[in-house]
Amino acid sequence: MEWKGGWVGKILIVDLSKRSFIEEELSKEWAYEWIGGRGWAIKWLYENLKPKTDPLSPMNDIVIATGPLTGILVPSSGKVVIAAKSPITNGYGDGNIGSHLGYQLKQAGYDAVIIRGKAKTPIYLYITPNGVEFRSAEHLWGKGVFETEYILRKETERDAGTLIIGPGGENMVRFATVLCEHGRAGGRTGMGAVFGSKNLKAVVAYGWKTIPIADVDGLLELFWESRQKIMQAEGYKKWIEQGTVMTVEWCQEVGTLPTYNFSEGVFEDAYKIGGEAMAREYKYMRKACMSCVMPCGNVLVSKSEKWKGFAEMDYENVALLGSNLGIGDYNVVIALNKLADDMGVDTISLGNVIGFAMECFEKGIITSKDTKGLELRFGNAEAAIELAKRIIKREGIGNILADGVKIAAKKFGKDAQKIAMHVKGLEISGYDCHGAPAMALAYGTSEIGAHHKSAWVIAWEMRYGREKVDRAKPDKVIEFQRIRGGMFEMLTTCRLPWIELGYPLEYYPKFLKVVTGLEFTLDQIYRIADKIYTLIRVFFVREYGHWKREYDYPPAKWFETAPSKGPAVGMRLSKEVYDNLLDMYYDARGWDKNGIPRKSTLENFGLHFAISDLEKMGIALSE
Amino acid sequence: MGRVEVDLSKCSGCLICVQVCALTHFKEQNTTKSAIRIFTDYFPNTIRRSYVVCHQCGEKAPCIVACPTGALIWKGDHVELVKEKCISCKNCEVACPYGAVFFNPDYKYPIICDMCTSIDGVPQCAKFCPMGAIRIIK
Repeated sequence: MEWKGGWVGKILIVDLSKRSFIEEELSKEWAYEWIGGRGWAIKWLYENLKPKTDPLSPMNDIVIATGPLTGILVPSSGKVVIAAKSPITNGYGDGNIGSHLGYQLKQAGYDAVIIRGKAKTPIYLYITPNGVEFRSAEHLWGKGVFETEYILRKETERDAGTLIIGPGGENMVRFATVLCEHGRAGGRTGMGAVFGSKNLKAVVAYGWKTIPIADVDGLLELFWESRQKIMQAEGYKKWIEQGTVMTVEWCQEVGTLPTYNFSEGVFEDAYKIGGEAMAREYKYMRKACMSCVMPCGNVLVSKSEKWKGFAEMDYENVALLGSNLGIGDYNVVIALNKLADDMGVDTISLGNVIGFAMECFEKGIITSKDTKGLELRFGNAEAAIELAKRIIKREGIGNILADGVKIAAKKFGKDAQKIAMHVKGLEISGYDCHGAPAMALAYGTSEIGAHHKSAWVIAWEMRYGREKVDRAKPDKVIEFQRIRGGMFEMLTTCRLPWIELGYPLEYYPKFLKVVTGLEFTLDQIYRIADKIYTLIRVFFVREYGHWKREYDYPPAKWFETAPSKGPAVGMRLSKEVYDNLLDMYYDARGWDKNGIPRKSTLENFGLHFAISDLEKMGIALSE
Repeated sequence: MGRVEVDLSKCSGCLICVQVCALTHFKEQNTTKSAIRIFTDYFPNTIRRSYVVCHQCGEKAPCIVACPTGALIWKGDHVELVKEKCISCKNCEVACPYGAVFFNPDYKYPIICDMCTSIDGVPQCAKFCPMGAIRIIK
């Protein structure tokens, strides 16, 4: 059908094994009922993957999806979703990335690309309005992301959109990401490893076709109004100076800054690696995603001779590669971050894995015999960088750690599992939750394993009261999952204008109207978001073959230990409180006591197929 | 006489100017139908940003001189295209020392900054830029 705007109307399906591709018309059902981005990803993966597919086998599919507002003059619309079955959680995995690939893909005539099979030898895809070229990547295999991007743009177009893996993805490090534009990363659920398993070094897109817009004048008017609103917001000036890195200071003040592998919530050198220090001494340039009025990309350059380099940094990078490792020197954090970006592994998981190894070393769970002489103590910058290199190359102990903390903890044995910080296998991002039960619930119930992207309730919780236990907490987690994990991941645009500068959500249906010509209400969008969360849960249950509420628990450390200092001193998460919150969460979602969606919930969302799928597997569904 | 200039120390590379140019002149969402381009080049060890837009060289502008049919004319403060005379030879594109004459594969005429004289005289790129990086220099 002809789309009035927003969607360009075609899905590209590429088969790497056969080196062939087909185009499918975007169906009304996909557009109206699943909108785009994450909605399409879970729908495709649920319907097309054989249950229990090995994520690193040719049978896994990669979905690269834009949404109706991607790549258009809509505030912060430069996002793309990359999804597949995750090698680190064995469930649904995705990530979103601020990349020029979004608009280039749409200008090439495609809303989404689905990549199947496995190439015999390393290749990259070059997608233009003329179709897909399967180009050799033999000369790029083994190269870092930065050099690869430079070469790819020389071989294609100067401003082509790219998604690239580094040696981390090639070596199938389970938390390898897909990157572009020097430090933009997405898919911490191991999407880079899935690329690597398919011998796919990169996807490059370049297009010159017009993306249809239902009402261009309406779009310009609405964007102008939005631009004024965002730029006049309180906090705008500080935001564009510091971006998310200002969270270092905030977390230090409330005692939630991951420190020493999430043992503490404050770090003695926090201010050396905070937003102010960054803006004052290290910031070199500003980078924005497409159409962003409030650019948060901070490129930092190190000042030390020993740790040379530059890196684009966010709060999570600084927290996990800085305080979590006991490192208070920005130069080292920059060097570690650059290494991770160039080699193509997730900085959050890398910071967790190194922090975990350091704590194991300090507790004697592993010794210098295991580390071949590496003194893995907190604060040891040289050791952290050397270990990162071994992980990326899968050398020695790095080979174990490259599978993430969950698998490594099982191999290390002893008490390692008690200090492995993850949910469903995915490592925890930048918030210590000893004294933050709602944020712990957000991690526990996050749709991809421990991640803050959807239910970032920590700031709300600190205002509301960290000690309170009531329905408002699970309700807030669900509200945020709906908006951030649902709406923004489907549209696909960035959540930050809303969450950071109070840009009203009511603008999104207005943008959908001028862009697509269709009427959507926020309630309609939220209902689709809830459906997506339920289908993602069904996907996990199907892949695991069963479900236990323990899978929705945060790491044991938050229950069993307490920080020794700072605002969260002495606080530990109460199991009783957590169970109470989890029950309320399940109840609000229409899931049973074990976290499995009820029959009535599945019926309500029109997911009838899921009922028979689960029942065939012998899973008893509650009414 | 004036022209569009971008202060690269302020530019974030958001491409709002690029999009607004195409949306106002062509009523189309298409970065390749814009008369202003922002490039962020990624070298293995650094990042460089640059911009390309017409320098409004004057009546002896290389594009005007190169045009065999007189389709490009100097209007006192900007270059204007007379579509009826254009034969799509692309001599103007080759002649421009700044690379600021653009062609889209689906559109046969050159795309050159007209200082928004065809809109309302206010350069839209400068108006929409959130970083205040674009100004008109005399």
